Amino acid sequence: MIRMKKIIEQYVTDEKHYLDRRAFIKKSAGLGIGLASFSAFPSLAEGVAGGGLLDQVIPTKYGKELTPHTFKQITNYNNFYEFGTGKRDPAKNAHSLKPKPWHIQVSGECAKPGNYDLEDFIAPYQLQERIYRFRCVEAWSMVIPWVGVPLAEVIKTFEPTSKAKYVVFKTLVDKQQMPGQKRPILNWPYIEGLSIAEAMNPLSFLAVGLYGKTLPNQNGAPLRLVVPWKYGFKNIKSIVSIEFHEQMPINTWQDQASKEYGFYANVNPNVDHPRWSQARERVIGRGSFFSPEKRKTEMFNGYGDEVAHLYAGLDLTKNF
Amino acid sequence: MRIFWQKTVLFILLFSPFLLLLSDILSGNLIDPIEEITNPTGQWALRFLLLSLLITPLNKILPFSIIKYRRMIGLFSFFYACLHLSIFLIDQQFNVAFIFEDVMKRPYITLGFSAFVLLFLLAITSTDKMVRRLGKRWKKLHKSIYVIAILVIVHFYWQAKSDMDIEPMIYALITLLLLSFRINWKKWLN
Ligand code: HEM
Repeated sequence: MIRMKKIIEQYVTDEKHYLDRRAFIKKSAGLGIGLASFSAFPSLAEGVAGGGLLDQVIPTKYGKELTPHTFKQITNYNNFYEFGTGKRDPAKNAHSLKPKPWHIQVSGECAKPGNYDLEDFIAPYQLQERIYRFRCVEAWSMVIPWVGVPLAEVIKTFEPTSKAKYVVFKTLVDKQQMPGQKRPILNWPYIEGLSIAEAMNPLSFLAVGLYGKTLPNQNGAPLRLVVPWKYGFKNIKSIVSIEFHEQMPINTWQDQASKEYGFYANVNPNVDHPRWSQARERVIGRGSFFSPEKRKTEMFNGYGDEVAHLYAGLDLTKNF
Repeated sequence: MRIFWQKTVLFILLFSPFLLLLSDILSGNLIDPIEEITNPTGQWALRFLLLSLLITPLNKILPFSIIKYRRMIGLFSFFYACLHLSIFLIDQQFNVAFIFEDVMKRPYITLGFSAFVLLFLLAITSTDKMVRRLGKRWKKLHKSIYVIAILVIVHFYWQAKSDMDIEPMIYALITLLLLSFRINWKKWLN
């Protein structure tokens, strides 16, 4: 029997490294040195490998009990069709994305629309770390230590009007930077949306980094959405546009196959994908070769206490 | 003797995708062994199946005979299909209820399973003894390779995440081309 001992040792070292660093950060903060000594003005977009160490990230209670997957796993197993349909394609091809300079267009039903430079866009908020479970609609999962800011804080800044019922996000369209867009695999640009109530939920997060560093390109540099109670495809990457709409948008995967993917895309073990079961999920890279780890998928990916009230009275078998 | 060496080289060529995969597994390069073995083994099974279909038309235009290699190629297709199926069984934790449910409820699995059963029948009837024993019926039985090819193409297309995925379409085109070689156009047109 081939045990995946080697891989497991790898996680341990990765994790240990990371945890050691966290301990060091705490210590140095205690000594009054702070993290600023690492780099005075760390950029939010360092390019391919991520790698730019982010400044002054505060830990949070989110996911303290979870064991994150390794940096290698999180950055080499991605669905990001803008760079190809294989899981390894984004890591291979995303070097052509230029996450700096980066602008975000804010428009629609709000008092403060505008075109913002990413650094200015993020500057007003305290960066925090949140360890969230990530459940892909393809029935696999990971645990990821994100760095970012609560979406609610960002949205308040733009003062949405009473007409703003939905927040719509769009990914960059640029065939040169995103070679996967040369083919009509999906209807580009990639579009995702949340109801205002979902977007204002404390769990909703805009990530600019993971493992304490800026986002690697393949993970959606320089800015991506993280909504851990929904399937992975809601977590739109490389965002260039945030719009406030009165009407519910048609998100990309719903447009692609409306019988298989809906607007809500809440993790739900009781509603199968038409082509496969959603009852269980494969925890990437854990367990042994002949017995890979599986866990029962939880309603709302285990975040029901925080979000179940958003869907009271909604038939989740129809609104999947 | 020359045939022996030619067959040995062919064996190594057909076996090498497996060796490459094995080295990836043993070196811990795979992040999700389930997906990263399921997909290549499925594709190699299909590629070798199509290659075995190419032998007969190619044999007609070549000045020398290559029919003697067809069986090995077909059996390698079955070999990769067995690996492909084994990974599915591992992913289903060898749980009979889960497997049965998937085969019955998921059309793309139903097709893959049907293709596998047919391929299995062809593999076990591929010995010289069976060829002799089945006589004319052997030819009929082994024509089902075309049915298998079509089942697998649809299996491939249905498991793809996007309808616009170009890979299954390329394989479908190749299959259609191979099928068209076998149609007796003269007879059809008259
Ligand atoms: C009991 C039989 C079979 C089962 C249970 C099965 C199962 C699967 C599964 C689970 C996938 C991956 C779906 C995904 O990634 O979401 C797949 C893909 C595939 N299978 Fe099968 N399969 C079977 C038979 C076959 C046979 C006999 C062939 C070829 C001769 C084949 C060729 C393929 C191909 C080409 C793919 C696509 C690989 C890719 O996307 O790169 N399958 N199959």
